[in-house]
Amino acid sequence: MRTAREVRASRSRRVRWQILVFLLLPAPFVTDFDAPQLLSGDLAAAAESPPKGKQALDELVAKAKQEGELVATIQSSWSKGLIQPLTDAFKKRFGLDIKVTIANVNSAQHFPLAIAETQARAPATYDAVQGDDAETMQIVGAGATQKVENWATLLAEINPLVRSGKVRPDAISRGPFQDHSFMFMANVKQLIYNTKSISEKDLPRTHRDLTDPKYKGKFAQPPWTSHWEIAPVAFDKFDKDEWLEVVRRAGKNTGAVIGESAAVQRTILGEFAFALAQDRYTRQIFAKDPKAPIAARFFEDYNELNQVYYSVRTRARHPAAGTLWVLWMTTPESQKIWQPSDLQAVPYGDSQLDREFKQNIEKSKARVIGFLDNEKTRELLKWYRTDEGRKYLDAVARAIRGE
Amino acid sequence: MVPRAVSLIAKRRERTGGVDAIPLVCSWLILSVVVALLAFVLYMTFVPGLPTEPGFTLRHWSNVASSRLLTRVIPNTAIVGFGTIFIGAFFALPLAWLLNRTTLPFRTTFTTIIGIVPGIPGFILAMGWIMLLDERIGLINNMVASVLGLSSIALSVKDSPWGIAWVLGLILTAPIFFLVAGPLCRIDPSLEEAASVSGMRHLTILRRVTLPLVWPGILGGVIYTFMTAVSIFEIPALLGAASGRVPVLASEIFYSVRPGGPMTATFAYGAAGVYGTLLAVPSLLALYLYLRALQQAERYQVITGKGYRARETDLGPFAWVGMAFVVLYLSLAVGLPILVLVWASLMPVLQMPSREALAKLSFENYHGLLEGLGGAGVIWNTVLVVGCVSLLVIFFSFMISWVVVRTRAPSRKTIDMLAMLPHAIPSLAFAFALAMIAILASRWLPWLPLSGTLGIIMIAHLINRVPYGTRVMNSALGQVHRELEEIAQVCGTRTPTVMRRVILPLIKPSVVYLAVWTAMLSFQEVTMALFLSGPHNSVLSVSIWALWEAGTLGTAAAGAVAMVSIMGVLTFGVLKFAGGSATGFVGRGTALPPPSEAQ
Repeated sequence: MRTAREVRASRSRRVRWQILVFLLLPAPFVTDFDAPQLLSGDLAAAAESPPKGKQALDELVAKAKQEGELVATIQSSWSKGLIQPLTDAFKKRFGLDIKVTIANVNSAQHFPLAIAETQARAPATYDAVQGDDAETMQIVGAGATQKVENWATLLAEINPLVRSGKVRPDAISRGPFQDHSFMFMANVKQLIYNTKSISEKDLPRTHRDLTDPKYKGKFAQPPWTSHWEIAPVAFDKFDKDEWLEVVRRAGKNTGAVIGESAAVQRTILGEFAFALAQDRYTRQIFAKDPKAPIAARFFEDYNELNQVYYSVRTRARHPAAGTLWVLWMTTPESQKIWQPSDLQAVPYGDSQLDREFKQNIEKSKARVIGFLDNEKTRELLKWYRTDEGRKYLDAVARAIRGE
Repeated sequence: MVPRAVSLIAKRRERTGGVDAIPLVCSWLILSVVVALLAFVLYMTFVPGLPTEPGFTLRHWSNVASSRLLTRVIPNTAIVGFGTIFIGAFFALPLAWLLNRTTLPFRTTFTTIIGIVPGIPGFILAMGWIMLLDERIGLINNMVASVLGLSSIALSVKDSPWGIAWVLGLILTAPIFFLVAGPLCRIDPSLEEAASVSGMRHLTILRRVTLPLVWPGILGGVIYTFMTAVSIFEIPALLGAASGRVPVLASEIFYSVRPGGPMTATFAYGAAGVYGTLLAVPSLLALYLYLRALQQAERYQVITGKGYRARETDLGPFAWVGMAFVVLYLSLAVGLPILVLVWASLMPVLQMPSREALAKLSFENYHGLLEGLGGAGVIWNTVLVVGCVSLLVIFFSFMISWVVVRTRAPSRKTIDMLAMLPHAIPSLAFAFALAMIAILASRWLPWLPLSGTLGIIMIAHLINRVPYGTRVMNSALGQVHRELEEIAQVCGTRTPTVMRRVILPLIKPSVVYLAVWTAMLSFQEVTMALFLSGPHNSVLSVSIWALWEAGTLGTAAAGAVAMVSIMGVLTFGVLKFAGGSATGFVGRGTALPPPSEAQ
C-alpha cells in the first residue's frame, strides 16, 4: 500500500508529464526555440486553467464591473468604424455593462506623455495602450506599465488558441515584456515600389545599396529609425560608425523623409520610385485599388519584424477592465473584427491573412528579424534603453536626414 | 459746457492714469497664464530631462550652437520668413484695396473665398503644389516640357526655401488681407477727397494717404505673417525640411522634440525651448518696431463722429484687371488645393490625373464619412471649441487692446508686448507646457478639469490667438477717436456701456473679421490639439489629420472637402449677417453708427 506522500509524488510526476505533453503539442507558430521558457508556476496554471482560470477570470470581471469604465487605445491607423463592434464584442464576452471609451492614438506621440505621467506619479490617461517593440520597450523600461498577475492562467481562460494548446503563452508575452505586454499583431518593414517608375530588377537588394548615387532622390523613408535599428544583430561583423556612415549616405540620397503612409502615397503618385515602409500598406492599397501600380519586395540583408503589444498602464484608473482588454485583444474573436479592415497579420494567428503572411516570408526566404527573436536581439533592445544606445539611435535619426 | 466736461474727464484720466479696473484685471488674468507658460518653456531649457525632475544644465543651449545653425538653419528661416511676407503682401495689399475700396463686382463672394484659405489643410496645399511643380510628376513641368520638346523641366517647389516661401505666402496672404481690410474700409474719405481736390492722382493718394493710414494694420499683418511662417512645421517638412535639405528653425524644433521617432520616445523639450527662444528674437525685434509705430496711434485715428463714410473707387475700364488679379490669386491659393482635395476624395488611392485614373473615380470615400471622422461627438466638440475660442479671443483681445490703446496705464506697453509674445513661441512648446501642467494638476489638483478636456484645448487656442486678436483690436481701436467715448462719458455713460454701445458697434467689422478668422484657425488647428487630445476631447481637425497620417488619404480628403464646405457656408453666412446686406460684406453699412448712438 502506498503512503500519502507516494500518492502525492505520483500525482506530481503525472502533472509534470502532462506539462511536458502540453509543451510538445504542435504549435503552428513556435519559431523561437531560444525564447525563455515560462516559469513552471505559469505553465502549471495554464494546464490547470479550467477551474483556477475561471475563478481568476471571474474575480477580474467582478473588479472590472466595480470599476465601471474602460479607457483604451487602438492604433491611429484603425478605422473608427471598428470601435463600436470591438466595444460590443468585448462587453458581451465578459458580460460587462460598463462605459467603454476607445480612442485612436498614435503611440509615438502619446508614449512620451505616458512616461511623463508615470514620472509625475499622476494617474494614467488610458488604462490600456498599444505600441510596437521599440515603443513598448520605452514604457516598460520607464515603469509606465504594470504587471498582470496570473496572466498565463487568465490568457488560457480568455484566448482559445492558448487554451487549446495551439499557441504557447510565451508566443504572446515574453522576453523583457513578459508579464507586462501582450503581442496581438505584427508587420514587416520592406520596400514598396511603383511598378511604372522602376522595375523589380533595378531595385536595391540591400540597405547598403541605398547609398548608390543612381537612387538619389528616387526614394522616401520615414524619420524614425525602425528600418535601420535592427542592423547591429543582422550582420556578423558590425561596426557602428561604419553603419552610421551608410545610413548618412542613404539619407543624403533620400528624396523625402516622411511618414510611411505618405511615402507610399507619393510613391503611387510617381513622385518617388520606391519607399521604405510596412508590408501592410501594400495590402491596404490593393484592397482599395487592385490595379494600383505598386508592389513590394524584401531586402536581402534583413527586414525588421515589427510586433505590436498591448499593456496595462501603471496607475491605470481601471486596471481590471484594462487587463481584460489587453488579454482579449489577443484572441481570434477580436482579430476577426479588426483584421479585415487593418490587414495586419497576427504571427500566432490562423486566419488566411496570417497564413499568407508566413508563407510570403518563407517563400521569399527573406531574412526577417524581430527584437524578441533570440537573446542577441533582446539584448539589443535592452541596450537601446541605455544612454549609449539612445545616443546611437539619435545619431541614426540624424543620419537619416543626411546629417 | 461740453469742452469743460471733456476737460474734467481728462483731469480724471490724469488722476487715475486712464485705467479702468475691469479691462486691466481681465488683461492680467490671461497674461499671467501666458507669463507662467513662457516661464515654464524657459525653465525647460535649463533642466536636463523632464520638467518634473530636478537638476540644472546649460547643455541644451550649448548643443544647438553649431555652424549648421548659422550657415543653413537661420538663413533658410530668414528666406522663408521674408519670402512669405513678400508673396503674402504682394497678393494681400492689392486684394484688400480691390475688395474694400473699389466697386469691383462679386466682392462678397471673393472675400468669402479668401476666408476659406486658412481652413484648407496646409499639407493638402503643399501636396497640390508638388503635383503641379515637380521635376518628375509636375503637371506644369510636363506641359511646358512637352511644348518645348524637353524630357523634363528642373523646376520644383521642393528642396528650396523659395518654394516653401511661395506655398506659405499663398496661405498667409489671408491674414494680411484680413488685418488690412478692416482699417482700410473704415478710412475717413475726407482725407482722400482732400488729396484728390489738391490734384493728387489715384496712385499717389494710395501711396501717400491710404497706405500710411493703414500702416499699423500692414505692419501688424507683416509681423504676424513672419512669425507664423517661421513657426509652421508641416509645410516646410513636406517640401524639404524633413529631408534635411532645407532645415528651418521649426523643423529643428520638431526634431529636437522627437529626435529618433518611436525608439527614443522621450522629450527633448529643453532644446525645443532653446529654438523657441531663438525664434522669439526676430519676433521681439519686429514687435519693438510695431510698438514704435503704435506710439503715434493718434495719427491713424480716422474714424470720428463727423460724417464718417467709406468711399469706393470706380475702376472703370480697368475693372477686368482687378478681376483678373483676384481670380489669379484665388486659383493659386483656393482653386488648386480644392481641386486636389476633391480629386483625392474621389480616388480610391491618390494618383495623377489620367484616363485610367478617371475610370476609378467614385464617392466611396464619402460613405460613412461621419463615422470615419469620429461621429457626432467629434462634431460637437469642434463646435464648442470653435465657438468658445472665438468669443474668448474677442473678449480678452478687446480688454487688452482697450488698456493698451485707450488708457495711459503705466503697464500698457508691457501688456501689449506680453500679448504679442505667445506668437513668438512655437505652439508646440506651449502645448507641451500645458500638457505637463495638466499632468501635474491631475496628481495634485485632481478636481481641476484640465487633462484631456476641451478646456485645455481652448486655453491653448486662446493663448495662441490672443496676439492676432490684439493686433486686430489695437488697429481697430486706434482708428476710433477718443472724442466719441469722451462725449459718451460726458453724458454719464460708464465704461462698460461705452464699450458695448459706442466702441463695439464702430469696430464691428474688425470684430466680425476676428471672430471668423479665429473660428477658422481653431477649426483647422492640428498641432496643439493633437498634443492635448485625449479620449474625450477629440476635434475634427485631429480626426482628419489622423486619417491622413494613417494613410487613408481618400477619407481624409473627403473630410477636408466637407470641412472646407462647412467653413465656406459659415463664413459667407457670418459675413452676410454682419454686413447686413449682400453687397456690404464687411459690415460697411454698420461701420457708420446709427445717429442715436453717434451723437
